[in-house]
Amino acid sequence: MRQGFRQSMAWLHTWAGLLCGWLLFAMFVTGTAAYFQDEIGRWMKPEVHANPDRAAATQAAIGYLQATAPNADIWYIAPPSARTPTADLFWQPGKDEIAARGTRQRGDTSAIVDGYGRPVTVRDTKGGWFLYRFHFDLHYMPVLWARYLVGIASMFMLIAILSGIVTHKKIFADFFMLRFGKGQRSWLDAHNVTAVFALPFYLMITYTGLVTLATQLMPFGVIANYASPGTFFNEVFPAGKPVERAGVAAPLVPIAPLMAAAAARWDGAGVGSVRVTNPGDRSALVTLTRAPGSAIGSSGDTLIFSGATGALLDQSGATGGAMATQAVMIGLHAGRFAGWGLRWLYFLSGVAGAVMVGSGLVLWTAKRRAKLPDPAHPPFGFRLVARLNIAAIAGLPAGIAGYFLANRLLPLVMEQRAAWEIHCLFIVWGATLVWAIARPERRAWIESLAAAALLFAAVPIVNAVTVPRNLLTGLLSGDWLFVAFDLAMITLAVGFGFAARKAAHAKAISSRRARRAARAMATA
Amino acid sequence: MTHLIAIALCITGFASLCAAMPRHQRMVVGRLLGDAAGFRLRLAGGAALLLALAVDLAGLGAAYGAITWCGHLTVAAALVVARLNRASSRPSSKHRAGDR
Repeated sequence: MRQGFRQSMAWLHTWAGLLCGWLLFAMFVTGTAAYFQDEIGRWMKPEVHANPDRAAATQAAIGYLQATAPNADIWYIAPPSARTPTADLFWQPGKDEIAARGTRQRGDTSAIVDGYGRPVTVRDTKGGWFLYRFHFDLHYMPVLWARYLVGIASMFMLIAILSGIVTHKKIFADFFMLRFGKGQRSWLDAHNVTAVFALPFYLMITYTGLVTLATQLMPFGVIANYASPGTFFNEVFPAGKPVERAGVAAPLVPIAPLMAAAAARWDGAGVGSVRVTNPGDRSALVTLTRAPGSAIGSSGDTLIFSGATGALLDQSGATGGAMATQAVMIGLHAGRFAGWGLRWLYFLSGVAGAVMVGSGLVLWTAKRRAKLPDPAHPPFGFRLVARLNIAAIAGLPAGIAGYFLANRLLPLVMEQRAAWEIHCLFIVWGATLVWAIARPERRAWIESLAAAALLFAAVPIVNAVTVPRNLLTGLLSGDWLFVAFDLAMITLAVGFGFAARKAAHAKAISSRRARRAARAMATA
Repeated sequence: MTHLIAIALCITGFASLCAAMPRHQRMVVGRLLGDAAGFRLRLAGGAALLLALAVDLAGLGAAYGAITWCGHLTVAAALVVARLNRASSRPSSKHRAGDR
C-alpha cells in the first residue's frame, strides 16, 4: 500500500462512518431515550398513579388474575417497581379456553392493574418501550433483518471508533479544543471533542451492543455443538418445562413470604417478574426472577417454588464464567442497574454520542463543500448525503416529539391507537425527508431544526391542555416525573432552536463570504 | 454527594491538565508557564482524576464506582471545554490583559 497507515485509517473512518451514520444516529437517539423508557412510558400513561408495597401489589395482581383467568396455563406478572407504578399482567389461556373460543387467536390476554389489583384503563400506547425496541428491532420490517442491519451498523461503528482513534493523531493535544464559528474546523472540533469525552462509553456501548446480538451474529458455536438452536436456548434460558396439571385443586400460597425468601437469597434484591404455572392446581409452580435493577449482570437468576406448598424446588442463575460475563456486558449496555445519578450520566453520554455521529455526518459535507468544483450544482452523491443528514439529524428528533404529541392528541378511543402513535413518528420523520429534498439545503436545515424545536416546545403546552398533570401541578404536588419531562422537552426545544439560529447565522456568514468572493472576482 | 465530590475533582483535574498545555495557557492562566510549572500542573491534574476515581470506588463500590467514574470524567471534560469555549469566544483584547 502506497498510502500511510494513518491515511488508510482516515479513509476507513470516513466511509465506515458515513455508510452507517444515519442508522447509528437513529440508534443513538432511540437508545439514549430508552434509558428513560419507564419514565417515558409513565408520562405516556398519565392516567396511572400509584406506588405501593411491592409484595402487596403482587398479591393484589394475583387476586385479579384469579378472578379473571383462573384456568390459564401460565400467568406472568411484572410487579410495580420504583420506576413503574403499575403491574403488567399477561396470561396464557388454557387449552380448553382456546378450544372453546374455536380459534387459534390468543385474544385479549393482558392487563394493567394498579397497586390494589384494580384494572387501569390507560390509553393504548407503546410508550418508551417502542423507542427501546426501535433501537435494535427498527420498525416496519422483520425483526431478524433489522437485527442484522443493526448488528452490521454496530460493527461499522466499532471500526469507525478504532480507526478514528488512529486517524486523529492529536487526540490528546486537541482534547480541549472547541472553536465555534470557524466552519469546517468547528465541525471537526465538535466531532473530536464529543468523541473523546465519552470514548470509554462508546467503546463499551458498541462492543456490548454487539454482545447482545452475539448468538444471532455468530451462531457458529451453537450450530457446532447443538443439533438445533432451540436446545441451546432452552438450556440457557429454561422456559419452565410444561408441567401436567394434576387435576387436584389447591389454593396458591401467599406470595409475600416467597418474595421475602427470594430477597434474602439475593442480598436484598427485589423480584423483577413472577410467573405462575398451572395456577389453582396442586402442580402449580411459582417462578421468581431477580429484578435487573439489583446488579450489573442482568441474566435473571430465578427461584422456583411449589405454588401449593411454598417449598423451594429449584433455582438457576448465571452458570459459568462465559454466561456471567455476557450478563455483565448486557447489563452494562442496558444500564438497568443504574440509579438516578448514573442513569443521567448514561443519558448524557448517549446524547454526546448522537452529537458525535451527527457532527461526523455534517463534517463529511463540510469538508467536501469547500472543494466542490461548482458549488451551485454539487454532484448527486453530495446532495444525497446533505439531504439525508437533514432528514436524519433534525427529522428523527422531530418525529419523537410528534410521537409524544400524538400520544396526547389522538382520540383516546381509536382503533390501533398505539400503532398510529408510532405512524405519527414516521409521518413527521418522512415529512422532514420530503422537506429536506424539496427545499434549498440551507433553508431546509434551518426550517427542519426550527420545526423540531417548535414540536418539542409544543409538547408541554399540549400536555397542559389535555392532561391534568404538568410542570406546575407537578411542582405543587411533588409529581417530579411530569416536572422533569416538561423541563426535558423545554431543554430540547431550546437546543434545537439554538441549532436553528446557528444554522441561520452560518448562512448569513457564508453568503457574505460568497458576496465578498464575487466582488473580488469582479475587481480582479 | 459522591457524585458532586467526584465531579468537582474531575473538573479540577481537567482544568489543571488544560492549564498545563502551552496552547491554552495564555487564556487560562494569562501568560505562558515554564516547562516545570506545566509538568507540575499535569501531575496535579492526573492526581485529581485518580483521586476522583478513589472517591467513586469508596463511595459506590468497585464495580459501580468504576463505571460512574467514566461518566464523571465525561461530564467534567464537557464542562471544562464549555467554559474554555466561552472564554475564548470573548474579544481577544481581554485575555491578553489576563482576565480571571
